[in-house]
Amino acid sequence: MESGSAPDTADRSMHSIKGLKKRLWVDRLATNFVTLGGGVIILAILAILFVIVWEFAPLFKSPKVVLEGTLDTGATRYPLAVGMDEYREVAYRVDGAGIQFFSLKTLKPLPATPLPELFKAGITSVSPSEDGFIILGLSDGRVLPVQVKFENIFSGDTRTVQPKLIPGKAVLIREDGKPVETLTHFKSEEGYSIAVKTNGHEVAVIQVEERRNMMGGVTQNTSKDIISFPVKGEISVLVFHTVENALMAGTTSGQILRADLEDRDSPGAIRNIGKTDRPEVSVTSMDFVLGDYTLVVGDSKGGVSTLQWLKLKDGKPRLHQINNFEPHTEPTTLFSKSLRTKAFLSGAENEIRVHYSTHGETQITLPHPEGQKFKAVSLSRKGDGILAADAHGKIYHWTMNNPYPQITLKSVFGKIWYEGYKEPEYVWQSTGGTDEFESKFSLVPLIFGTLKGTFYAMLFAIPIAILGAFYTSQFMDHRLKGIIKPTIELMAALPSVILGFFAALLIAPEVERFLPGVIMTPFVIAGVVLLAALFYEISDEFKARVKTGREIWVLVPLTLFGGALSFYAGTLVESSFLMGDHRTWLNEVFSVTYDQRNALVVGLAMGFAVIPIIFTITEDSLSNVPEHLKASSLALGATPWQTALQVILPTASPGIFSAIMIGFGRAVGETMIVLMATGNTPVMEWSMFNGFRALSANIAVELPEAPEGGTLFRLLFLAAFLLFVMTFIVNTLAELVRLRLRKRYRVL
Amino acid sequence: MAIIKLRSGNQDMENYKVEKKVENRVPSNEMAHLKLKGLGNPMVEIENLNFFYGEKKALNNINMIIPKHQVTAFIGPSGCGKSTLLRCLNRMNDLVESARMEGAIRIGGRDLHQESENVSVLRKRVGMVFQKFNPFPKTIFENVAYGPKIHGLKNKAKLEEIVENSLKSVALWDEVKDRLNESALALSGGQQQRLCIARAIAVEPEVLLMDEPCSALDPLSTGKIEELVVGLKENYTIVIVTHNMQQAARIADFTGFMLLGDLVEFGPTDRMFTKPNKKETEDYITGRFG
Repeated sequence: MESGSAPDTADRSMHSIKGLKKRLWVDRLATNFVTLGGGVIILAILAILFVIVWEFAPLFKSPKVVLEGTLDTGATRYPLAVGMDEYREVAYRVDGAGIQFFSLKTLKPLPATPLPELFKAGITSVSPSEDGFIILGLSDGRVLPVQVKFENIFSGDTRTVQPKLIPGKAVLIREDGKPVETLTHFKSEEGYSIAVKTNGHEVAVIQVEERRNMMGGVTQNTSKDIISFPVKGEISVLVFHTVENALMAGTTSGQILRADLEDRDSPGAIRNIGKTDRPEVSVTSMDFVLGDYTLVVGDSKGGVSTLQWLKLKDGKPRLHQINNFEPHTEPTTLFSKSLRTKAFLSGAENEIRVHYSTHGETQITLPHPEGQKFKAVSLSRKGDGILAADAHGKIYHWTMNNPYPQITLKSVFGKIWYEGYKEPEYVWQSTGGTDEFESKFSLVPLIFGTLKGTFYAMLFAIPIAILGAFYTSQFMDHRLKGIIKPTIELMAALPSVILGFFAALLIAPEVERFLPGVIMTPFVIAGVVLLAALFYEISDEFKARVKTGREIWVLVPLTLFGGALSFYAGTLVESSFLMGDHRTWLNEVFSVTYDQRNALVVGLAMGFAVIPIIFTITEDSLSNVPEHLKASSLALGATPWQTALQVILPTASPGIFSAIMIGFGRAVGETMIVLMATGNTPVMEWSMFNGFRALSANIAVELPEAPEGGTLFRLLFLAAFLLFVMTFIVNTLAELVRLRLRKRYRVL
Repeated sequence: MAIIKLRSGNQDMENYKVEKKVENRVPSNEMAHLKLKGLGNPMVEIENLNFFYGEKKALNNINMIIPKHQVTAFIGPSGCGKSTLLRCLNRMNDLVESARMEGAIRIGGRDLHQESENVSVLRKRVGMVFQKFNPFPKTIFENVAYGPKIHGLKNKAKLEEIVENSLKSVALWDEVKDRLNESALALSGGQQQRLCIARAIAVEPEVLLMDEPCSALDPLSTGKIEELVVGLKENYTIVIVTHNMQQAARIADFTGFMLLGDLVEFGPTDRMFTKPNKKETEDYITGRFG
């Protein structure tokens, strides 16, 4: 290198290094920017997933129980019953001497409230109730109703609870003056009924009707009846079945007997209705959970089971066992129920448990903290606290935190035997017409609905989209393809709300009108086209006129003609073979009901939404098969059809598979069409003439009715999570299969 | 060498264009002469062939005879129409929408464009091997068996026999016999091209067209293919298009030199490379352009 040119060369190389540095810097920046963008997207999706999980996770949290306080009453007699106010501030304990109140805040006794109505009698038994209206059975054969009342007194911002006893009129039931030992009662708006065992097989039933007169006074009207049960052994427990107006009695020989109070003289009014198979087991506790529908029976072996009074196939009502709970180790003698939910408490002397009757799971087990014996228990009104009194005068108070007792994996995904149902079922019913209504939260019908809608949409879309794409890419005239393809792609831009609107208001009624024609359409069109193809093969003149790639000009009118023909034939078929009305016919021959908004309509509308996606991706992947593969197949003498089928199709199969999967994902997540065109009935029927409710539509439908933090609110998040998981699984599967196919049909 | 000369070669082509009207075709009398000279049986006869892509004329009044069981090479610069001519022989040009052909081509005495001539049958008779080796994304076996299968052969044993024989005749059998069910795409480039030849001869064509079969291959693989081509002429009439004049010299019995859609000269390879009749041929062969 000459010295004279050296500076110039150095300058130029400097310049180029500078430029290089700048270019490298830009390159790095771009790389980092793209990486950052991708990372942010992944993070955002994970964050959404996290929020969804965060929102529904509390549903499945196991309940928490905390021992809030222990209260030593110093009483020496056994407790007969305990109870507390709504806010769990004041508790009462009933024993032979009377009723004593305690403060659960200070754990101290409150001033004594004497019951002058007792006279000199002692209390020998109590028919307890979580609502505070209790019946005391007395040692002189009388019963004394007492309303335990908690008055909330507000002074400024503070609320104090003032307990009060309002005794009713005592009634002499056992005229022999013996102590009342076994009794039960129920209270209604008109008054109350009390049943008392008067000897081993007889029960006295007293009905007290209370009428308030206009002056505010109360007049009582008392009637008394004696019911004799055909008992083996002795009656051990009694309970009123209020909804059926019956009295049930459990016996020491394991029987459950039922006396119809409405129609007492009819044959079979008093009869044995269950559990005779275990005469060695004594029924030790029996009561209904909230709603007076599900009976909980505890026995001397510690067993706890729920039963329902049901009419099944033969029309005769019977007690049916619904759930069996894990037995206690000692006889089940204690019971209490929640007045808000179907939760109930069962107890033996050594432990108490909280169960949920609907799904049959035991949620809490509490052994006695000091190994002593429980004698009385009570579940708080809201089901958030437990009070238990033991044989030694101590009262234990637990706080229970179980905001979603109704939701378990089983109740969401399993079959549940709901009250009043004939068998275990998957049911979604979030709100009902009556106060006693129990929400039923099985997501299975919704998952089913999503799959059903997707199935029918795909059934309609896949053949049309893929065959269409096949024809378009392999045989259609290029100029025509240039028009057809963008047009179909434009279909994808149609808002699904419009499709749903059309489906619900236009397609649904027309499909209903011309149902036989609609069903026949694909077959008639296929037939017409096949006939035309036959004619094409026979007639050389026809063959010469229709150029390859331009068949569409013949096929489109033929298809329209086929459609019209099938609609026309449909009306003929309906009038001559289907008794003139396909709905009646369907109902009578297949016992299928026809809903106007059904899976068929959704299949059509959603198929319409999915077709452009599947069509475009399929067409692209078919057209992207390298020309040289096609050429080498043709050069071997293969016909275009053979080439398309044996070379193009397998090579494009990964793309076609992707197309189907992406369409599937779209259909799974589609909301507006299924929302508008299905009727949203969460039934589980595969029939294409029934509606369904999809997960996505369910979220949209129920959202306004779901208060934040409530069970339904969280369940909707669970539904969203399921949708997420479904699309995730579909996409992952699709990607895996696609990669495998691509490896197999890789093209250089 | 030829590539370096390309630029000046274009210049020459321009010059040539001017004079081509004067004298540029093999006249029919020479054709008769060729026949008389006893070139064996004529396999392919091309008469007054004109070929158009839309308005553009790609082949200009071609007349030639391709003898049976010989290797015939078409040489010429890019765009001279040699591939188009080749593709006329199995009507692959039909795939090009605006293509149009005039004149007659007879293979084994049968006119390609007769009404009754089925293109599928024609292509079975006239096999083709492409410039870019293009095995199907199937197994080695399926690739070779594809042709017989589409022509209706279902007998498994017969298919196996055909596959074995075809692979043997391209000297690929020993290399792949243990992995017939593996993807053909796992083979090397040279192997893939030999597989494509095997695939073409599996349908037992009469004529085998090869469109620059070695242009994407390394010299070693090229050598193998060339060896193969020479061996195959025993059973097939081979027409090969090549860019490589040495290749034509090595393997072809007859060579046709094409320029701008004209068949400038056609004759036995020895004479073409030693004593070309036309100046253009000589210029091309000696590397003055092209």
